[in-house]
Amino acid sequence: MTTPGIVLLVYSLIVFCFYVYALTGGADLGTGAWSLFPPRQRSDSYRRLIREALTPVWEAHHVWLVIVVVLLFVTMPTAFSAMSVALFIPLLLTLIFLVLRGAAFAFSAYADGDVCSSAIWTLTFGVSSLAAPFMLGVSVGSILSGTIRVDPASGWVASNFVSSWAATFPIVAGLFMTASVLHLSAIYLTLETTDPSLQEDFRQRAGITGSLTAGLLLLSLWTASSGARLLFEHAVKGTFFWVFVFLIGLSLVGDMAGLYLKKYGWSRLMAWTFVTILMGAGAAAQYPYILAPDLSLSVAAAPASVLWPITIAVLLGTVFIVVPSFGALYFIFKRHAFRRTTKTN
Amino acid sequence: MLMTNLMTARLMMSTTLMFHIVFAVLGIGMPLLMIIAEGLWLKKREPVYLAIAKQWSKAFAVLFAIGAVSGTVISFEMGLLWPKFMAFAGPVIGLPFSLEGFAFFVEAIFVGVYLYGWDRVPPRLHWLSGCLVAGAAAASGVLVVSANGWMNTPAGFDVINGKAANINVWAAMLNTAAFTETLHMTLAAFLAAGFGVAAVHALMILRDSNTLFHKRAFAIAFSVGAIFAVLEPMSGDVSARYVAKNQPIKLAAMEGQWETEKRAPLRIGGYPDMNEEKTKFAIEIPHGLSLLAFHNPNAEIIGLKSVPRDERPFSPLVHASFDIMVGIGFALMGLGLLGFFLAWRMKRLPDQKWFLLLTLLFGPLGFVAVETGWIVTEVGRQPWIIYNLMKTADAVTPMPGLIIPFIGFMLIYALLTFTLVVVLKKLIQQSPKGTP
Repeated sequence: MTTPGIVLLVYSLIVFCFYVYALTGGADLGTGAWSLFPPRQRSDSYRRLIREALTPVWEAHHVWLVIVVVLLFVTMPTAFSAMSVALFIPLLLTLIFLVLRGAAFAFSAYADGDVCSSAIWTLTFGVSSLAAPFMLGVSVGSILSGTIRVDPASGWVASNFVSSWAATFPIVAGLFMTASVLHLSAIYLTLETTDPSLQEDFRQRAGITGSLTAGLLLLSLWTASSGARLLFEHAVKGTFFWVFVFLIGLSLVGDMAGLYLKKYGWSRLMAWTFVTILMGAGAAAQYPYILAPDLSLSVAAAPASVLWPITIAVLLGTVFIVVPSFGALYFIFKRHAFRRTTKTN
Repeated sequence: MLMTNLMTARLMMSTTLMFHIVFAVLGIGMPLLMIIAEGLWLKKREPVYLAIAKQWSKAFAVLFAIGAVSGTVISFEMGLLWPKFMAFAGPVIGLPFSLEGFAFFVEAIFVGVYLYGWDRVPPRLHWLSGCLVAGAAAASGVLVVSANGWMNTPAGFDVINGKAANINVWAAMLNTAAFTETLHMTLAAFLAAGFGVAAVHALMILRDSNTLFHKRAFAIAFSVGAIFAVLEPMSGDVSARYVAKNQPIKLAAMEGQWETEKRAPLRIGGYPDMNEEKTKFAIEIPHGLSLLAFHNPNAEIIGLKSVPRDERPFSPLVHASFDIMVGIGFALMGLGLLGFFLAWRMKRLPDQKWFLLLTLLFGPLGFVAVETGWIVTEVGRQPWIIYNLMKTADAVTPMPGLIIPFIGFMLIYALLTFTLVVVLKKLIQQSPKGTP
């Protein structure tokens, strides 16, 4: 069965938007979660750094997730509908944590009276920032695991509300997602400050979570052998598997070496490479399915009369609106994180 | 079981929408107020205008954050609660939703620039980013409401084997209801936000009449509210005639009209009894409904009895909501005209105590009108989720125990509302005293 070009293009767009979300909005969740683990000294300046890093950009980053949801229900309606039923619980929890985290962040800036203590909102902010990527990771892991079954005749979901995600592989995937956004955001935060002691705090945190990320990646590959059969067949037994392992290992080693040598810009580049290879490989392993093994992309896709105008609108919108607008936003607020001399001491 | 899953799902969706719409309205209306204030500052260089723009932008920062997350709840809940609706309708109404995504991008990005870029961006560019926020917010609203319009007047597809085929996304987006609905809602957003903000400043002037800050802020917000309050009833007339033509049963539910008859009366108040099939205790204005709906006193109006009982919207709620919305609409138009009249007579900003008190009392009602208006649109369309095509009961998720997430979300909304009130109160108290 061949997948028409337009369907492949749409699939790439969805993956791309989720990829950008992971690097931006996903990392913002990690940034928020770090507020739970301040160093004993400097906890004020540490939290201020976190707030300043998020303030002007988190809402714009969050839109990438909204775009992923919209693109899914517009272009892959049967798959979206099946996910909505089978993943009702983890998606609802993701949603609750995202709501609490956004609201808590906004409130904690202003609340310092006795009625709504800022300590409570700061805690809510941290906890929900930590829990959201976990639940999102569980959902993605479940989609990759090939356990969301769809009745081919009716196009209606055949899984129950629990079994596809309350399993080892999705939970490991959730932990992996949490560790990787923590790692990514810790690297970002080293570049957000010129204070050497804060940089050191986040360097250590990036190191610890980097090791965790590596360990959980191995664990998820191992659990995939039983928990995500198709992914395992495609990925682990595929021709490019060892190339993949080599490249992803190399990027992670490069990332950690950058941390060791305090070359944070380099670490960030390597971390981006890591995410790029990983998500690219995951998307390729899932292909030609959206929900393996019952729903292929070409079966799940909306008619071409929908896909073409949407794809053109999204591409034009991205090139002419999103890219220049984000360019302006980063130029105004994030120039300091992209200076050439990022190394201090 | 106390409530059916369908009922819980409907309540859950409606509380989410009713919560979000408040922030959507302020998200559309407040940027306009902010760019007017900042524009006046750029033109006249009176520091008070800059202070107003900055203070409004602080409140807007919190409101926008809550609006962004509650909007995300909607995008998820559409699928979580109505998976069969989304499986059918997702692609057809995909265009407005995708475009809305980009409007949201522009809004969120330039909200960042506007709120936190006061010292980082040149003044004119800063003002321009405010304009982009205002434009993108209004565009977002229009696009989302046009998707709702499609549920009322589905267009741009054929049904083949229970699936949407021959989809034309442009025809779907430009459906019949889209124009009247988006016009009515956009005007309502400016009206409700303008008067709502004006009410806050009226209160502050009543407390301390020696405040230039609140007087100028009041003048801007009241003027915006008043202009749109005068326009809104005209758009209401367009909407009513549209509903009469395209959704006669919704009109019948709005008016408690049971029989199909010519020269139908307009009923104000009263109770449409769903069992006895008549509307009791209403004040009836002869020919009124025929005149309103078709601009012809002898026009025929279709009644609720023309469809089976299980296809009738719950008229008591729709009728009461409609009357409340219209009543508030006219009251606010009166308030706006009164304000203009007083300003013209006095040749300055009216600051009589009774006038401020009136604004304080009536100003916030714009939000009540928005909520009741949506009840009319949504409950008036029942039992259909897609008018005459898919019933709401057939679209709901099979997920059992929806009462648990429903209670969870209710608690979250209550908590957010409470905290928000505390935060806004604090911001209002922090506003500059006297003449800045």
